[in-house]
Amino acid sequence: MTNIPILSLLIFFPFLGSLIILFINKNDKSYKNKVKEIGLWTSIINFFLSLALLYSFDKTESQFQFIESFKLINDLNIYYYLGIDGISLSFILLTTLLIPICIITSWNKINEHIGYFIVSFLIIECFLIGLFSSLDLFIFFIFFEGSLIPLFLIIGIWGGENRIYASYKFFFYTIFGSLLMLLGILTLYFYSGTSNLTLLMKTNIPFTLQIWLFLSFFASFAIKIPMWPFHTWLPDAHVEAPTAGSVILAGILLKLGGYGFLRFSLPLFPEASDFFTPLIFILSLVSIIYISILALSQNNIKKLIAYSSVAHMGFVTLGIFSRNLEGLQGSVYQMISHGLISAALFLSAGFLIDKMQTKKIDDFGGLWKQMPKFSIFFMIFCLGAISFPGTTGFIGEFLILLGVFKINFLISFIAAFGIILSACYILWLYNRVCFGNNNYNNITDLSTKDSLVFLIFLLLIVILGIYPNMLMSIYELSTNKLIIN
Amino acid sequence: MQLSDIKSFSPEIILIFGSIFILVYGIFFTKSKDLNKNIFYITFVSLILSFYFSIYVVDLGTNSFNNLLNNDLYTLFFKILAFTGTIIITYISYNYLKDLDILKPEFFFLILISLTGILILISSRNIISMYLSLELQSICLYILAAYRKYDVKSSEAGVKYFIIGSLASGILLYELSIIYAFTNATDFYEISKSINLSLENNENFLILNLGFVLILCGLFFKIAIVPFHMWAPDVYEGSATPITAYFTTIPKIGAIGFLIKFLNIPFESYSDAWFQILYLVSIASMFLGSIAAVKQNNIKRLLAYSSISHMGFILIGILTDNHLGIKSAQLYISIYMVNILGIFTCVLCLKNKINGYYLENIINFSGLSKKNPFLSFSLAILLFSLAGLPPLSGFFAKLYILITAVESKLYLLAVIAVLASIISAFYYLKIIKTIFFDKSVNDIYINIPTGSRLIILITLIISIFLIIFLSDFLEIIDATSLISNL
Repeated sequence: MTNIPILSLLIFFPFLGSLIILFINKNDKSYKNKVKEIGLWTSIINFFLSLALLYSFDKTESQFQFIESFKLINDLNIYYYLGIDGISLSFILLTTLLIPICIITSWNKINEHIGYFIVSFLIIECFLIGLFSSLDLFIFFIFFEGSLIPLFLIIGIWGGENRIYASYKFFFYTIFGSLLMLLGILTLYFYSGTSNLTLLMKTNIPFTLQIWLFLSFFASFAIKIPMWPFHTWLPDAHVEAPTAGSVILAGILLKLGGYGFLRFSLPLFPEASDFFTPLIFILSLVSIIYISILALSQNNIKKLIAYSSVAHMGFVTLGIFSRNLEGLQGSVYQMISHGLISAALFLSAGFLIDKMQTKKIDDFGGLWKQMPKFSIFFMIFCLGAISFPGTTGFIGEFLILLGVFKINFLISFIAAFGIILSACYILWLYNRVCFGNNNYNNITDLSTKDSLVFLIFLLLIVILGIYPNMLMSIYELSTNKLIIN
Repeated sequence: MQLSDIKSFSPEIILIFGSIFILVYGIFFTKSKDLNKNIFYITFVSLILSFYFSIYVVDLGTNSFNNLLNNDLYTLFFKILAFTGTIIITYISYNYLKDLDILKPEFFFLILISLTGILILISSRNIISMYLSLELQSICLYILAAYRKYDVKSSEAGVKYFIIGSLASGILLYELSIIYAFTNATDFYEISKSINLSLENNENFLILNLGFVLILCGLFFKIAIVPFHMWAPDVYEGSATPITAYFTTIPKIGAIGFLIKFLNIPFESYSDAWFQILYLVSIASMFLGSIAAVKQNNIKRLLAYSSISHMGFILIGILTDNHLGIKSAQLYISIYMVNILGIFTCVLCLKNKINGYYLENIINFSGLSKKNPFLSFSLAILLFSLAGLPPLSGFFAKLYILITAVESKLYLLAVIAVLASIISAFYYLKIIKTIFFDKSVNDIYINIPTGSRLIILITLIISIFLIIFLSDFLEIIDATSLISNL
């Protein structure tokens, strides 16, 4: 097993699939079906590959595993250097799980440019897996920024009415942050002479330099996660993106920020992280409270879920910068759990919007009678979003609050209000969507295919909520290592 | 003159003979049916032959014609770029001009002669050969700009280019004479020696400094960077599209190749002075090029401004005055040429269905993605690449420029370059937006000749997969870099 470059295989298998799609004859009658099937099978095979990765992953080993390394650019000492630990593995699993689901759920909805659509998703999959498994800053950056191209096209081509504005906003926010990060990477590279993460962790960087570098990385990650003053691209992008695009955005793209903080900011700039912790705590608290209040006043279902994502990500940054075991483990758990729950919520919202052709919450109502299956699924996803015990959301937020409590009582006290607020807006959303008067007559419930997809999410949310060790054992040692360093 | 001189001058001789042959053939066989085709073949063969000679026959590392010219790996690198670009442009312009029915033997004559001028410019190491070759290419370019003589804009472009260009040439010539007066030398190395001597004796001639600055102005005019860029958008817009493709690439390759040499050999000891000049000029070019392009609707005008901004990036590489910087400038200009030529080839495949005009206005591209996925995909990739998004080739060009800036501790310049590249992403996205997001217009007629398809495919493959062979390419650049050839 060790001789197979399984990470490269995971990264480039979707790329191979998309190359095959480019060579299919477009005049063929069954062109659309062929494209979809190739896309689906590629992503499903990739999912099983990632399960094989999980199977051969050594949970008792805290070092990076499945190392692959060869020199990419000779004169700059840039290596194609891959390797994963538990944290990256969890995110890789999340990615490979969500991509086939995205393709399944848009099976009948996307008719225009179907080839581009599937290719975009496959390319985004290969960039995301690459980014989670890269241990060289340059390679990381290439994958990180490369994921912009397909997502820009996904929002712009298949989005809603205001899609051009949304895609531009998304693009420029992200590119601004990531180019600042590129300058940071270059400075770091010239300071230490290497872009290799494992070597960089051993170098001591002077404090003032750390501050600047931290800020340049922070610009990128805070926009991506997104944190309070930098969050305005997110609601637009979510509202305009097609359902599958929202799923990818909320499910994985938002986690890049948190992943970046864990992988780069904390280990590379520990003193600067200490220095900026109060600032980040304040920004996170504002994210949690202020954005939750904003979410209360939304009448657009996708916008509400988008704002709730920002609030939940506020918990993640709190947990990461509390820098103790509970906080870190909680924030990784919260990210995975939010990846599942928000993906499920966006799928539900997309399902409703397709049925009713409206995004306004006021237009829904009384769906309980006509869509009993959907209502049950939606209920459980909503409970997950308010971190109800028994769902994954609870584990994550509970651990984070525990971790923050150890540092500062007041912060965890205020943050706990976020949970109450999330209960307010989510339950109110559920109330307005499923109960009350019925405005529609001929609505069909979930089809078998949709139910199956929803069931996958439901099982994952509940099982991981009841037995968290299943997921936590994967990344336990990796988060412990962060503390020790 | 010796035999070895002729040997090392053989590529240029082939081009000159080829072009004269084209003229003669054009006069004697005016009524021949295959005139245009044959002339195209002659051009093509003389280009290939000359290309072959410049690689395999010319002795590298030698001087010829009493040190007027020298050939080494550095000049070969730029010559190869110029040849490849010209071959591509000859092909796409043949189709375009034939379609518009304005194909004449003179066109290929002018292209070949101007290429000869560029080749001599690249290898010149004497201010006489430098000035002569610069004029040789410029005069051809003036005529090329006005090539569509019944088109008002084209004539205007030609006249404008000619007047401003000859002003620049005049200034250049005057300042070259001043340099000769003070240093008593025309050879680059002797000028350098003489300047060093006067610096050692603490003699500082104000007028020599002025002369140097004004020569730079003349060269900046030829590359079209701020503040000597005014002619570029008008000329690029007015000229026929393949000629615009020629203007945006080949003369710039020659001028950049020469500029690096000129700054580093005769005026090496002035590096503090030209560092500051280039610093300001590159900031101005990056910003003006990026901001002015945002509002443009004509794709040729847009690419004109974008090329100004790209030249600003290349200047960052040049001004750092070290091995890495020059290497990154070389990398940048080669990647820039590949992408720009790919884009022009794509654009030349699009016509209006009703009146048969070639599309130039960006709005007319709307909905191209439905009509032809291949073209729209290629355009998107090439534009994303120019915008500098990884993992496409344009990213590595910008990465190397940024690396150079950070390595020389020019952090401010690096930040400004990043900002300019963000602004420039805006207008590349504008084209992509029109192609992919806007509603389709039905009157696009698409005709992709096999050769164009091949060119687009090659540029596409280079753009996407450059990351794999970047190391090898950089090794080539390393070997051909100026400093390793001094």
